[in-house]
Amino acid sequence: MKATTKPRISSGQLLALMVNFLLASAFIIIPSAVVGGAAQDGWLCVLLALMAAVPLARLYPALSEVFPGKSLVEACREALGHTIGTVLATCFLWFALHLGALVVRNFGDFLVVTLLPGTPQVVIHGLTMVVVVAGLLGGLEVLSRLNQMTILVVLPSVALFLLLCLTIRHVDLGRLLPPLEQGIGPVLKTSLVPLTFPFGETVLFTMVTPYLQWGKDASRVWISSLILGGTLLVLATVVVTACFGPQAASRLYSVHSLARCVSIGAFVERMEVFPVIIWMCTGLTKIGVCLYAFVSGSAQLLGLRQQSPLVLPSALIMTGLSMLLYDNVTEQLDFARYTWPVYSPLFEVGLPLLLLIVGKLARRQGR
Amino acid sequence: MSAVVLLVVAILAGVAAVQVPPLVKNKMWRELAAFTVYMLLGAALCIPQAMGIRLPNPTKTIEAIFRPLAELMR
Repeated sequence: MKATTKPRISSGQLLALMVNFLLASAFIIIPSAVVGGAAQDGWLCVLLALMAAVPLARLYPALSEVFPGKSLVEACREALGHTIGTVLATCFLWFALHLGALVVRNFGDFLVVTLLPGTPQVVIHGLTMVVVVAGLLGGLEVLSRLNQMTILVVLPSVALFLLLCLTIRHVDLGRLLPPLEQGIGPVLKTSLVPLTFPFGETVLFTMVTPYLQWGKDASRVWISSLILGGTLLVLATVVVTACFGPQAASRLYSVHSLARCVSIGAFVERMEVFPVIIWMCTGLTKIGVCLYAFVSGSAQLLGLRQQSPLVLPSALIMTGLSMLLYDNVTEQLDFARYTWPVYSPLFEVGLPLLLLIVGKLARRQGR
Repeated sequence: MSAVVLLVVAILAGVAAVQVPPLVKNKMWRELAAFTVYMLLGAALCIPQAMGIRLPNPTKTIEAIFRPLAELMR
């Protein structure tokens, strides 16, 4: 038995996992980032990115059709041979680990900046990892069941939050005008940010889909979750822009600033708990999926019978890495806006596409 | 040795104390080796930072490699 214990999750659970994964750090960071790049057309960037992500939602499930029952790491070795496959799979594992550490870092930064200014950041990182590890030690099923509970909190919170924001007095959809003031160039360029930041990151789910109970549903689930998560991101960007206009870019966490503006009859106030609740619930899922991808990928790469012994040490590595990544919050936004859109496509598009092409060629020759 | 370093070492020791005995009992040597390597990596990342030593930052490396392309995004 080479394979580690195969978990089974349903399509509904996968959908919930993906929606929470897409909302996580993106809900907080993307509005500021796209408005910074394309001013009042930020929402158009998210919409364009969403459309551009649909081919990706075809590409990733196609991998599990070419390599049935194999995760991306296993597919690497099967398609490219032992040596090259191992090297590329290791790079992919680094991507999962790095992404997880980035999310942990975002998580800590957000809580320190908005809620807990006096708490040492490492404490927040550590406690977050404790929760994630507690979920993951039970395997993927436990994480997806936990996620099924949190999404029941997340989706109503997002809906209620967006509705509440519409009551802010100075929300004015006129701030979205004029469209395409600077031409289409900045919009296209900036749409790379949402394309690679939440949408492309779903590549990590290629580590999960082999365990789907009904494998054929993967593509449909992928597209529906992209549409659901993406629409919420577009709405969030629209509301943020309608409230702050292009100045939203100068706010680090514009969704949080937006929530502070809510005041209905000086009675319904301090709604900034909503972004924090959404962030906590979804952030745990995203960190969990990243850690799961890293742990299960490592176990497959090293040919282990059991992956649970790797969970705790991997969590330690992720925590250590997360403390190292940035010196300050501005650097993080800079990385998300300029470096991530050119660095992550290597893993989000390049590697899966290469595997798909090699896999299809090999299949044709086999016949 | 500050208190933070001791705390990190205690956490590492605690993790090892929980995870190692079942692995040895079930003779899962491969898993034990992988666990040890990952623990050493984790220790190498956490202990120096607890002591206040600045480790090389991977973000800086990635930024340096992708700078020509990243300039296009600005």
